[in-house]
Amino acid sequence: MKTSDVGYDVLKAFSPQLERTSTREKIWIGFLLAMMAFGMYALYLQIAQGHGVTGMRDYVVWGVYISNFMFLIGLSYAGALIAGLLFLAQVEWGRPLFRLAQMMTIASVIVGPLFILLCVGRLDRLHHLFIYPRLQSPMIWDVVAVVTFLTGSVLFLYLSLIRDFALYSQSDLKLSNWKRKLYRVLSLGYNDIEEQRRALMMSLNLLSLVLIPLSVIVASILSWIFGMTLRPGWHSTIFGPYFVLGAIYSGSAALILIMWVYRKIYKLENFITDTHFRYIGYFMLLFAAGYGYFTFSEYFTSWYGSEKWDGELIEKLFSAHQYGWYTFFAHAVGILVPVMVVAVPALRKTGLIVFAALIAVVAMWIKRYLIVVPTLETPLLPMQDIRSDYVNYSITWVEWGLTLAGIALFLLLFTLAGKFMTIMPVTGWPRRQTTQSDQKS
Amino acid sequence: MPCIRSMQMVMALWFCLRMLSPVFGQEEEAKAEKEVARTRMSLTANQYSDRTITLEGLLRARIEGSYQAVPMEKVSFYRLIADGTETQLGESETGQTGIATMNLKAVGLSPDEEGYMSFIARFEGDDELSESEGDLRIRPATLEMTPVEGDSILSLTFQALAESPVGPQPIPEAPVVVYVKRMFSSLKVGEGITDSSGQVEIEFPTDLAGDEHSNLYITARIDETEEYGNLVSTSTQAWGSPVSAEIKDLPPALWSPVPPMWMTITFTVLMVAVWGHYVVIVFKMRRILRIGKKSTAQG
Amino acid sequence: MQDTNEEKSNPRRDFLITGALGVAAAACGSAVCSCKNKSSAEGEKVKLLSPDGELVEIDSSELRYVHKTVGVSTEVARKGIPGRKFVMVIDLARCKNARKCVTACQKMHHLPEEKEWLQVKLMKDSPEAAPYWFPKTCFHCDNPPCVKVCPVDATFKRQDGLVLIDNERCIGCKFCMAACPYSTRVFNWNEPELPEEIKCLDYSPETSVPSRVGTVEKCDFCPDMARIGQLPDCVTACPNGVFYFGDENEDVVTNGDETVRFSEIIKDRGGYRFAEELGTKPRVWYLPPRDRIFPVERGLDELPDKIKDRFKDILE
Repeated sequence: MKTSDVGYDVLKAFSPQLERTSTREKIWIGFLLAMMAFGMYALYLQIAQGHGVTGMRDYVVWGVYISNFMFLIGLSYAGALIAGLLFLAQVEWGRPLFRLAQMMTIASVIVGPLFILLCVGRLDRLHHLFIYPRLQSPMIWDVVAVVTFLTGSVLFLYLSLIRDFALYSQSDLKLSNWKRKLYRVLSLGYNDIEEQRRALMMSLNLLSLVLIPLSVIVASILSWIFGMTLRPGWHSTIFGPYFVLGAIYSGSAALILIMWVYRKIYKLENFITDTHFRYIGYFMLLFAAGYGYFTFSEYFTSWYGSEKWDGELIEKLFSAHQYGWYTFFAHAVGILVPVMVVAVPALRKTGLIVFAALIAVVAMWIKRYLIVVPTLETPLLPMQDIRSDYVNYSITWVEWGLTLAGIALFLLLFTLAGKFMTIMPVTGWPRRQTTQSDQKS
Repeated sequence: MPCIRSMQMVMALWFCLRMLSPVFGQEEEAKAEKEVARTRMSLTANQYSDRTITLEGLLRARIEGSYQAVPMEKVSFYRLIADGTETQLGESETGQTGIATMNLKAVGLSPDEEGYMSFIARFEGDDELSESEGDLRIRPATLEMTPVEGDSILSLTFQALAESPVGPQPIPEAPVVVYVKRMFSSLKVGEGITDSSGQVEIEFPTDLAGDEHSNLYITARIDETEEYGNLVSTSTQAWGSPVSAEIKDLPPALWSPVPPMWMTITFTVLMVAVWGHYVVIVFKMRRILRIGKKSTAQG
Repeated sequence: MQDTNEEKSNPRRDFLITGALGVAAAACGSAVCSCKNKSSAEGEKVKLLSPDGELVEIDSSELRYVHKTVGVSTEVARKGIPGRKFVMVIDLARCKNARKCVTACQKMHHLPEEKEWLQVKLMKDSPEAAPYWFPKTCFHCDNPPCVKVCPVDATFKRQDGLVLIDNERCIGCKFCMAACPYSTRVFNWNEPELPEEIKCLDYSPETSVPSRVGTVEKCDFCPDMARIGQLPDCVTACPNGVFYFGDENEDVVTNGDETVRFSEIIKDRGGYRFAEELGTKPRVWYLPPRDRIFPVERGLDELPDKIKDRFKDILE
């Protein structure tokens, strides 16, 4: 196996992580594990004492867990879509981002479903989903969709790693024996023989072709968990495409953040250039605009028609003493700031784009919360409950703890992945530096 | 139905921990303090058209200010003859509703000179409940029901007759009420008042649902007369529309266990399409492995 | 079908028993009901009749109540009672928020005081409209949104129209709760506090007893009572005859005192279903609150503050 100069540089940049674990890394992993241990304690309480330790109650039956679930699953669908598009279109400049997007997909599609498991009151009966499934339930669609999607995206990542594994195993990296052997096994004896290359390329093309529509379908299925109910703010025909756009918007913003973090930590300025931020920024702008348009349609029609139930929800969302400020941030700030930063040439600086992406990510998380909680706090019949704590939702420390644990697990998956693979492809680079030719592509 | 574990009612089953506990001393102490509760017996009779009489003694006890039905107590029924002697008819135990019943054949009972029969229901009492008795003096009578099926009209004709020393006499101006048995209660479907000949015709509705064989269980009553007690006549007529008692599978629907066909098809097509691709890719991976092995062997 | 055979062979007997039931229900008023009252101070003596007719006097703190009925197996409970189609009619003109239905339901299903499967809401349809009391059970919809979304068939629709829950299958995902537009369902957020005798009872979807942590439950229309020919406890407990229950196939509903044709009472009294526009096709009908027999304020008399508090939004 031969590699290009660029590939060699990539391997160089990531080799310290592959070769050994530094003290800094150990501390970082220890910190993440500590956060997860805290989450495990919260989980223990939740299982031992029941869901009463959360802020969820009979009216607001879902809360921050399902918001996290929606957010992460959104990221994963966007990651798969972006990776698939980059691969299919053979976008030269996209090569350094390809695996980052794939990793984002895998990490979030692993962590996301864990959050929906936290909403399940009887984890001991989870197997009922497989022995008594009802095809009519959007929950079953979602289980099937997530499993299918996880399989597909793991397969996608693995296929795109085969050449890299072959290269790692033959490289002069100072790898421990078991690691080198593992790479050799995982590389499936790939030796860049013409027939092998053809089979691999065909598989990758096929899989990207499947993953792009699949991520649209599964993002819609996620939306139908809400869309199929008779609740204000949920029962909306545009919910499927709305979720698809929202997912890609938040996903492109998250990808910008991940790019920035990796560039910072691994000094990848040669690979992830300002151009990349600009290009993904354009992508984010496109979807911010589309998402903003859908948001406007959704609230505008609901407010204009102002049916009783819809009207109550709109009032809750837009009045300052209720969810008004969150709504303002999630929709006005969270859409307009990224749009402005990318659209105005004078503002189109990497630092500002990253800042805008951060705002978009936070806004999109709040948006998921605004989809779940205010609707559940707006039941058809008046909430005349003697238990005042049952009426409104507030997040408890158990829920925060498990949310933090989820974030820690997400980061840990990225960190551990860096121990086994280069977060940028080593193989497949053209002979010349891509960074200089990306303007043409 | 064997799958029903047990349908008997465990009504008002109370556990008293102290009673179950072996502290007998306290129990005796409680008994000693106990005052006797006052009971009341009400005796009523239903006279059926087949010349049977059902005596019903309702036993209630005054507990904490209100009368409450007393279940599972022995009630004795007596017949009182003109000279004042009592003949015991039998004994019966009160049910959960506090009612003890006794069925009699009216044919064997000869009324007194005035044409009356007298009954007594007696509860002997025990160390907790006082004794009580109820009595009843009625004349033998019957309410005969005859179903009439017209072209499009259904009706019932009634003849209320009382026995007397001088032979049968019609019962005039008696209110007859017709009921149909329903699941939880009886539905009143018609009423009328007997004429001077003790007869009345009552129209019967044609739009009632029966059981799976269209059967309706009809009961006609002249209730709470001083002279005769309750006169009751029953009949089963196939006058209703049939209601199937068959348990069929639910149709395919979003809310049934069976999904709509299109949903199953769409799901299957999607799954086969996606997982089919995965399988193809796994085969490709196997191919890559084989070629690799071959080349290593050659190399 | 033992029951049906009995009905056929001896309609007279059944007729008599049905007549006599009213007496039993009325008699429940004092001792039997007060015994459940857990708040009665220790040392208070209660007199009551044991099932074998013994009159006993015991300390109220030591009373234990065991479930009224024995439930059928889950397999049978999934099918429903043959030939029936249960329906309820709630007469809003008669309700004065006496809350006897609520407490009877709680007693029947061994629920704590704050858990209400049956709720009496104070409704006010518009700011100018007159408020009225609105008892709300599960509507047992014919197009039930909750059943549609259940991933494991734990909540199901039966032939006889009832929507029940199998809490031995429920995984506690709460999707049915999110889907029910009427907020009918409740969740066991913590381990339910039940006496040992109740905890050890065999669960049946028809009795809905005992409750289990991490599962959903709701009003079940007491099919266990229907199997023995008795009305649900909310119906018999109501002092004003607000609830009518019956079989739509027979076209008859009864509140224990009156028995009426279902189609006639709906026609004559302008019966309607709540939020018909949602298309859920409830099996519960309401008779509008016109010509009311109690002023709405009567429902607030003698209410403890914590219960009165919940209506403050409407009363303001």
